[in-house]
Amino acid sequence: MTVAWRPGRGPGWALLVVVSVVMAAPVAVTVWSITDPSVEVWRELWRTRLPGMIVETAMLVALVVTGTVIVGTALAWLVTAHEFRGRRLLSWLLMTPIAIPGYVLGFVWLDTLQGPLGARAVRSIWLCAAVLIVSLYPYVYVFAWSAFREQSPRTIDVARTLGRSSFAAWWRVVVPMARPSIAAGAALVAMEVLTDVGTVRLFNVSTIADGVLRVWFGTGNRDAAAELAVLLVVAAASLIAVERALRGRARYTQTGARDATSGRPVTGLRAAAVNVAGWGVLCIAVVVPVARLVGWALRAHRLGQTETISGDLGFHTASSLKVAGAATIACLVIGTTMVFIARDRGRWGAALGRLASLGYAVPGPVVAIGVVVTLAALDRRGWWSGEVLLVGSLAGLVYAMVVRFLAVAHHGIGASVSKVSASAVASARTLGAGPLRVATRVELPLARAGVIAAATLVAIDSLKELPVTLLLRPFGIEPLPVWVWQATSESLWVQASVPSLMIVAIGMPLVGLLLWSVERGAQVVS
Amino acid sequence: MTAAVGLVSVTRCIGERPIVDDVTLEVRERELLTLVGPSGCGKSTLLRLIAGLERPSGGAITLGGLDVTDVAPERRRIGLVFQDHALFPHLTVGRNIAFGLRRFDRRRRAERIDEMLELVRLPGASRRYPHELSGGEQQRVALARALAPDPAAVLLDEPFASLDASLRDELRADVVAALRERGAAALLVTHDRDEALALADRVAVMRDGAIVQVDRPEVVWSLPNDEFVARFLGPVSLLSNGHGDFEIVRPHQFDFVGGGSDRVVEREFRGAVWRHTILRADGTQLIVDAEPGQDLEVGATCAVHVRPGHQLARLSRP
Repeated sequence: MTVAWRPGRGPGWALLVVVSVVMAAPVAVTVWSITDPSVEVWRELWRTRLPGMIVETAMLVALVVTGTVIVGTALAWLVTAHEFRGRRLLSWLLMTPIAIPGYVLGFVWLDTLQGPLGARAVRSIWLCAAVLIVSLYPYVYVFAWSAFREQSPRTIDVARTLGRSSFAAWWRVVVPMARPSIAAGAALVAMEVLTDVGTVRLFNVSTIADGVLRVWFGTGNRDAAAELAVLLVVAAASLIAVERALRGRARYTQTGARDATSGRPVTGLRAAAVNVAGWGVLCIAVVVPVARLVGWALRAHRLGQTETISGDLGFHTASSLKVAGAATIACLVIGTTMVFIARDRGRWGAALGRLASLGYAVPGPVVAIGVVVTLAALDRRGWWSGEVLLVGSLAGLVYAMVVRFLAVAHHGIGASVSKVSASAVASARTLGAGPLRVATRVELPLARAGVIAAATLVAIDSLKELPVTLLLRPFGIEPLPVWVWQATSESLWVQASVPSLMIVAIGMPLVGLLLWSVERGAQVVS
Repeated sequence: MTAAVGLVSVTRCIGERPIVDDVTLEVRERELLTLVGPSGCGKSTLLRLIAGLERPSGGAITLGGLDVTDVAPERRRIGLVFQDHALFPHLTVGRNIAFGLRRFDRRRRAERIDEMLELVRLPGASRRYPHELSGGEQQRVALARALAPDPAAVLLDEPFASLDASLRDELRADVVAALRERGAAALLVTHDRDEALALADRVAVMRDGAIVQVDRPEVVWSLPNDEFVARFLGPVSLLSNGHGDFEIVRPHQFDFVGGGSDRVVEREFRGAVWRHTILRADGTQLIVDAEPGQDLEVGATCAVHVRPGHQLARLSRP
């Protein structure tokens, strides 16, 4: 909450418009490409792969969304509706799979199941969906979990006294009330499936995103790739429409105590069942993959396969840290600025804020292609003195990352800042602090946990990001996901394990930091 | 003498609906004015308008005779105390109080912090954090923080509402004493009529966004402008004089003698007095206080009359 008016709001508007336009430009440019279609390519695609691509994309999205909603909601129910030894630890650990990218989980299970299932059967859309479900369920889990925790235990008590069993009370009352949150998590999952290029490639599933990459690298026809990417935008937009419809107009707010729902104590067989379910998922998602990665990495070390032609592990790690670090800092600075300049500006301010956050609702390949096209246009104009080209520069890659992940920072920081009590802000204003001083001295310090959470989320996301990195990496920068991509495309699991393990090793402490800040009241889901 | 706070025809609309409707009011220098009214009548909005946290749709606001209608809140030199005290949880008590003392040098700032903590009777609390204090102590710090920069006026929004009764009386007395000692003009918003009457130099009664009456507490109590003010401030009986007019009588202004056409239907013990509800033969109900020893049992008959020597408010029923 903020003060309802302030004198002099001129420069803020200009800055807001500039940021929004710069952030939305790549998406607009990609969509614009459809106005001049490459008819030949489309005809060819339609005759060959396009119908299959659309069907497989739709199937994969449907399978993964259904699976993550079931797994994520069920796990959240297990750890909030029951009280057992180690519940707290388990409820935190269940979020750690977000540190392991789908394309890493994919090749580990591909190899592990190749023996029992056979090399042909293993590369199926079903297994691909299973891997994506295991790697993406935390998005639904975290939303459902915080929605469940926010509900007053009295709601369940009332349902119980009205004659419902414990499970029925959850199913009929708690889950429906959490539906908007679960839908939001499911939308994120759908977006991640649309953007995925690494996992689907492993399992020979040909989706639209995969098609965009094949056209881009295979034929070199960038216009056709951009036009195909428009299909992804359409898919993403329709998914968002579905999510909005599912959310409905319902805005569930609860009054009264918000103390964490206390679970029903379970012992004996029931406790064992709960534990087996929770730890079982963790084994599949984290324990087994990390164990196998460590095994392979040790072998790679013995064989001396811990480097690529570009450089050693240190070089690739430094590349990753450089890109993720720069993207995180840029997202934080721009996101924080957006939070403070976009609010209190009515409908237009909110609209511009959403425009700047557009990139998150658009699959990675679209953003990457849009950035390439935008920057190439700027380079051709030669606005910049000297020979500096924006395409293929670190700045270009970071720009694309910011377009893609600004929304994470913007929403996270915004949600936490809005929780700062209105009367604290009012007190500061009357004590002589202007809007800027209130922001830096009162609101941001109080929202610190939220800022940290937003930063870690952006860092984890940009560390894992494959399509944007693949299309935009500048010469001399080879982040870890690219190494994984190159090694796995030749089925060199041993080599791929080294960068994979490094991604997990950097990601896990970040997840720890994320959980720490959530514990301190950070708002990651809004 | 110029008013510390002046409002001239101040209106604040949300959409078409006026929340504050054409309010003209002043808080004089060194005065404690209480603003009382039912919840939702616009009291808090009026406070936010004076502080500059909201902007009036019409009218003008002056502080110390200067027009501040278009001045940002941080330039108004207003002290603000909320019900939830709104201390900055990440700063110590000392740094909370120092928040508004930016123009002070280090030595004077430290002196002022000590002086303020002395004033609100919390010496030595400077290094503690808000969460280490009790509710009453937090409210004392909030007052110290508001008073520290020597504001032109202090606005208090239901400052005692979240405290329990025993703590409230003590804190009330201390807050009033602190305000008087600093000589600050203060506007205190409350929905508690006893609080409004007990603390005030003058009371302003608000209803539906408008000020209905402003006067010394004893005047609004015994000579209310209308039936709403009369009923809002305390128990009251309406005595019709047969010409469409009626007089309003407080319970202590009645007396009764045993035997007559009036009958006691209910009574409750209020400490200093017994409060009787008495039904007259014409069907009207009267509320009558009598000291213990002078009281009547339920069911007793009596004759009620107004004590001589009381000036009564006379109103015409709408």
